[in-house]
Order: sequence, then C-alpha cells, then structure tokens
Amino acid sequence: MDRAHPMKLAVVDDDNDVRTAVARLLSAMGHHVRVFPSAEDFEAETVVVDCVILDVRLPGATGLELRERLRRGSARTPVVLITGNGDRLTLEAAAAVDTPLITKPFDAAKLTGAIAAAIAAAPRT
Amino acid sequence: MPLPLPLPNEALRQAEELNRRIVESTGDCVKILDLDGRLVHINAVGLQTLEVADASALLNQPLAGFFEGDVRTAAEDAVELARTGARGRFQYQMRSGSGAAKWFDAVVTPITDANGAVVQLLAISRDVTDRRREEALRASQHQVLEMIATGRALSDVLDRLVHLVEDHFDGMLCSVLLLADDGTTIRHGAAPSLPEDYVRAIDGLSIGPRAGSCGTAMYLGTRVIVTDILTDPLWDDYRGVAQRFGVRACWSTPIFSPQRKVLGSFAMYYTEPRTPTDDELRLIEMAADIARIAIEQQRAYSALRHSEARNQAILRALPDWIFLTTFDGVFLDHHANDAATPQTSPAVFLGATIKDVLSPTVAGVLMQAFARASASDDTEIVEYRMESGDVERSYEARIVRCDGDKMLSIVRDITARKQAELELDAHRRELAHLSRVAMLGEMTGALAHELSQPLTAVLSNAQAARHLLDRDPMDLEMLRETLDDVIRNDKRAGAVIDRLRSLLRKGDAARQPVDVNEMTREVIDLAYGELASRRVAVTTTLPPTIPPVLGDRVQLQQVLLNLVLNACDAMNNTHAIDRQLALSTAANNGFVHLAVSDCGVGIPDGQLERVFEPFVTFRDQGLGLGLAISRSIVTAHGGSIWAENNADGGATFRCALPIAHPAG
Repeated sequence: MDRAHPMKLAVVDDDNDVRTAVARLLSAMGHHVRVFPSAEDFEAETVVVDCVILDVRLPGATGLELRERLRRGSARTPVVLITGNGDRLTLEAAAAVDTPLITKPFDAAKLTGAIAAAIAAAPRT
Repeated sequence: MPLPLPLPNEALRQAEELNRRIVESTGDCVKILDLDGRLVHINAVGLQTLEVADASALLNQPLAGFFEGDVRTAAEDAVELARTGARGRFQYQMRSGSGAAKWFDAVVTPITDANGAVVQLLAISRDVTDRRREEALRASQHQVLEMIATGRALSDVLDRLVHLVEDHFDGMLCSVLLLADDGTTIRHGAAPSLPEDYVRAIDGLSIGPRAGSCGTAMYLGTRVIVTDILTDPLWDDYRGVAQRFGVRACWSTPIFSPQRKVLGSFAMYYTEPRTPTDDELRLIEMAADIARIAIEQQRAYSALRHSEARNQAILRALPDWIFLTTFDGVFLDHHANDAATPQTSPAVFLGATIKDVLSPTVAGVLMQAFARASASDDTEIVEYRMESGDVERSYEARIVRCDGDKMLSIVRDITARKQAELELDAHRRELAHLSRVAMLGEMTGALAHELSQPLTAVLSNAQAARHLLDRDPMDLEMLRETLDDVIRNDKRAGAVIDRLRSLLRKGDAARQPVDVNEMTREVIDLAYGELASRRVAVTTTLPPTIPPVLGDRVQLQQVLLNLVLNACDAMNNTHAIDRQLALSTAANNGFVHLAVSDCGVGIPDGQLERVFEPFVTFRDQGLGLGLAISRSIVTAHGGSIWAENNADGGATFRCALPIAHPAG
C-alpha cells in the first residue's frame, strides 16, 4: 500500500489521543481519513469508506456490535478491530466473526496489513 | 430599809415570828451556833436529817464534832471565818439509817447586832445529793463519749458504760447484749458485774417472744420490764439460769440504730423483785442511747478498717506506680509494689518537684496534663517515653485530681504494649500492601488498556512524523503538533505508571493532610479503565472544598479503590445501562464523610457487618480480605466504615474520617 492507492478510511475510537494519532498516521500515508468518537456518531452519517478501524471498547454500542450491524448492512464495509485489552475473550470474539484484530500499541505496518486483510476478506459486490 | 412599823416591841415580835417561820418552813437544815461554834438551835428539817427525835442531846455540842478527819477541819475553818465576819463553807457526806449516802453543802455566816458585832453564827446545810449525782453522771457520760470518740474497743466502752450506771444505783447490775447481723442470735456485749457463767449461758441464744427480758425486748423492739423473774412467763425457759445466779428483777430496753434497726439491749438487774423508778427508767434510756453511739461508731470504724484493708490489697496487687503530688508537681507520697520499683529512690523524689526529677519534656507533658485534669475533673491519660538504663521505655500516666488540690498519678510501664502495637501496625501495613498488590492484579487488564492508549498514540504519532518528514514541502506546523502529541501522550503513560507505583509502594508513609476530594478524583482516574471496561457510569458529588483529614494517602486511596471495585463487582449482573456508581463527600461534626453507592445486588439481610470480616465475600473473585483490611485502615485513622442497603436497591458504603486539627 502506498500513496499511489489512496483509500477512504474511518477511525472510530472514544480516546481522542488515539483517534487523532491513528488518523494522522493514515493521513500522512496519503489516505483520506474521517474520525468518529462513537459508533452512533459513525452511523449517524452515511459514509462510504473502504475500511473502518473500530475500537472494541466504545461507549454505547461496542465495536463488535457495530461490526455486526455493518456486516448485515448493504455496504458490507470491511472492519479492522483494535483493542487495548488483548484478553482471550476479546481475541476469541474477533476470531469467531473472522475479523482482523490488532492490539494496541501497534505500528503502521501491522495496521496497514490488517486493513489489507480486511479488504481482501470482504465479499466483493 | 425602814419599814413603817407602829411600835418597836410589836415590830420586833413580828420580825421574830417571820424569822421562825422561814427557818421552820425551809427544806434546808438550819442551825444557830454560839461564837464557839456550839449548837444553840436546830430546825425540824435538821432533826429529820440527823434522824433524831429531839434536839436536847445535840445542844451545846460543837458543830465540828459531828464530823471526822478533813471534813471536821473544814467545818472548824468555816466556823472561824464566820466568827471574823466572813462566810465559811464546807461540804460533807452523811449516811442515812437506810445506809443511803447523802451529800450536803454547808454555809456558815455571822449574825450581828445593831452595832455590827458578831453575836451568833448561822449554819445552813443543803442536801446536794441529787445535784452531785447529776454532775457525776454527766462526768461519767462525758468520759464514755470520749472513749467512743477516741476509738476505744467497743467492749471497753460498754464495760465503762455499765459501771457508770451501776455506780449510780446501789445494788444494780447491768448488762449490754448485742444482736448479731443475722438478726436473731444474741451476743455478749458487756456485763462486768454479772457472773461469767451467766454471761456465757446467754451468749448464742436466740431472741424471741418469750426469751427473757433482753431477748424479748430485742424481738419486740420495746422496753420489757420484768419485776419478778420467778413468776414472769417471759422467763419460763430461762428461769433456772436466773435462779442459779440469784437475779430476780430484770428490765431491758432495746438499742436502736438511727434506722430503727435493733442493735442490742441494755438491761438492769436487781437481786430482789423490783419495779423501776423514774430515775432508773431515765437512766436506762440514756445508757441505751450511749450504747447505740458506741455500737454505731464501732461498726463505722470496722467498715473503715475493711475498706482500708481492701484498698491496701488492691494497691498490693496493682502493677502500677502511684504518685501523690501537689498541683505544682511536688511529690508527697508514692506507692510501688515490689515488682515495679521506680528508677529513682523515693528519698530523692519525695519533697522534690516533677521538674526537678524528670526531663523537661516529660515534666512539661505531665504538668500540662495536671492543668487539664484539674480543670476538667476527668481522668487525663498521657503517654511519654523515658530513658531507663540503656533502653527507652514507654509509660502511661492516668492523672486525676484528689483531695481537692492534689494530683494522683497512676503510672504504668506500657513498653511491651507499645512494642506489640508497633508490630501489629507493621503487620497491618504488610497486609494492606499485599492486598493492594492483589487488587491491582485484578485490574491488570484495565491497567494494560490505560497504558496501551497513550503508547498507541505515541507510536502512531511518531510514525506519522516520519511520513511527514518525507513530504515536500514539509508541513512544519503539522510536524510540531504531532511531536507535541508524542510528548503529551508519553506524559500520560508516565502518570499511569506513577499512580501504580505509589499504590504498589510498601509504605511507612508519614501521616499527612489528605484532601479527600482530590483523592477521590485520583482513584477514579486510576480505575477509569476498569470502570469503562465494565461499562459502569460514575457520578461524583464533591463540595468545592473539604477540610483535610490526616492520614496515609496511599492507604486511604486503597480503601476507596477497594470500595469502587467492590461496587463494580456488585453490578456485574446489572443491566449495562443501569450500572451507576455514585461517589460523594461531605464534612460535618468533625468528620469527612465519603459514600460509595452502587445499584447492584445489595448485601444479604443480616450480613451488613459480616462483610467486614476477613474471608467473608459475596464476590466470585478475591479472598474477601479487602473490606477487612479497609476497616483496619480506617480504624487506624480514627475513623469508621460501615455498609447500608439502599432503599431503591444496591448498597452504600460509608466511611467517616476525623478532620485534621489545624495544629496537627
């Protein structure tokens, strides 16, 4: 992935610092990034993105719940889950829904790798 | 004084008649003597007193010749004085035909003619027997009361009392009996003149409605007069004894305490049948009265002796030193049992002041305690340390005011107790530390999350910065912003580590003023991750300012963190949107109050106190030590912690900590 293929991405995380930093990294890499502090904020706008980077633990609906809704929706947007808590329960839940999950802190390579995997796994329309 | 008399002769006749009638009608013995002191005339009372029918045998006898020894000399002197125109006086005793002794007071005065020359002498004798007896009685009474007042043995006092009464009446024998504490048994009191065997026979008998004079008097609580023992039915059971010792009449009066309790009896005996005279009745009551005073006094003395003995026993058993000092700290007296001898010899400190004997610091502590004890009338308790040989020992002094202006100090060596307290404190600290470690262990997931957030931001920002460096032209503004965020997030991670480190510290932290509001915010920060992952919403009600409490900041944080985590556990099965945790603080009545309320399952009935016991838990995880340790921490801070169930579900844990005094 490089600047020749810019993507439209969304970052949903309630932690302002994390949200800003991840968005800034992806922007610096040439992508178009929009940020949302909660699942509800994300759903309130009809955005079409190539991939959503979703924090597992969110106020209101969790990242996993949002992912469920996205999968059921017509868009079938690819999702990358991120979590600060790499416990067994969270890992198993992600594996069960066949969604890439990366634990914080992660570097750029791990993040972009996960995004690529999510897009590759998503059913083509 | 010139009287209006018509004729000299008639006046003279009238005067002589008046004199004769005075002389014959007086109750005194009147004698007229010539200048040699010989009897010229004696009145009828005089003849009766001398028990002679007519005066002829007595006339011309010298007055002094009626007496012998000292009295005769006194009579001669009195006659001589009267002859020289002065007034002579003497006293004498006479026995009547019945043998009763009588006392007389005789006054001899001159009779003068119109020229003032002494022509005859007038001797008037007055019977003063009654007066002398009264005086003697009063003197003896006084003597007995003095014996009582000086604490003489009861038996001595009663013996003297019996003699006093017996001296007053010829042929009378007296006895005092005492009623034992059981209220029925008769005990010997005093009977110095009654035969010993008779006294022994009565001792140990029981009172009753027909128990002789004394036993009946004590039984009925009234005076019992038995005129003749041989015929009176009250003596049916004891007649033999009485006959054996020859007593015939017995009058007895009960001795009452001021509360009308019968203490004993006073009895008068005669060896012939007799009814008491008014005089005898008067005296028996007086004797009973004095006996009452004697018995009461003896009981009071005996009670005092018992109490004194008890006090001595208590003192012997006490391991403490007791010092009596003045308010100014001068040592007046001391007590120490053998096992606890004071360091300084009594010879050194008695008479010296506290300031002379003890170090200025200790003396200061004690003198301030004296001032407080003196002002409040309460027991003041102070602790201090003193060098003893090479080691320092701890003492506790309990100080109380006594005898108005003196101070009583009870001093105890509490070194061992202090040592035990220190060890206990160390154990408590160790346990608290272990409990904190365990508690943080339970929070590992949440804490990892708390750290991973800023670390993610740091890494992402740093990598973003590298990409920004490759841009042409470089966006320096964006680069600066990115680096600022790196720094800020690094500090954020550092703060998490600082909070953890302080809680994990093994503390002997000095007590310091703690702002409970600030502490509450810190604990919420620390538990933020845990609260968020459990989806618990927190509301805080903190007043703008709150007085500080004095304490170990870390331990107090531990208490609150424990309450917060417990509250979260209690809401595990509560629906996520109902998971509300409310924290509030308030200050009143000298305490800062902290409340942690949850909307969880509450505490089972009757378990509100049990949850503070070790190893009692209603949670799935943990040892059940958290609340036990929390209580020990709060108690060590002089506060209290308790639990309540909320009316609308869930539980509230409340903690009260004393507000720090401004002076420390």
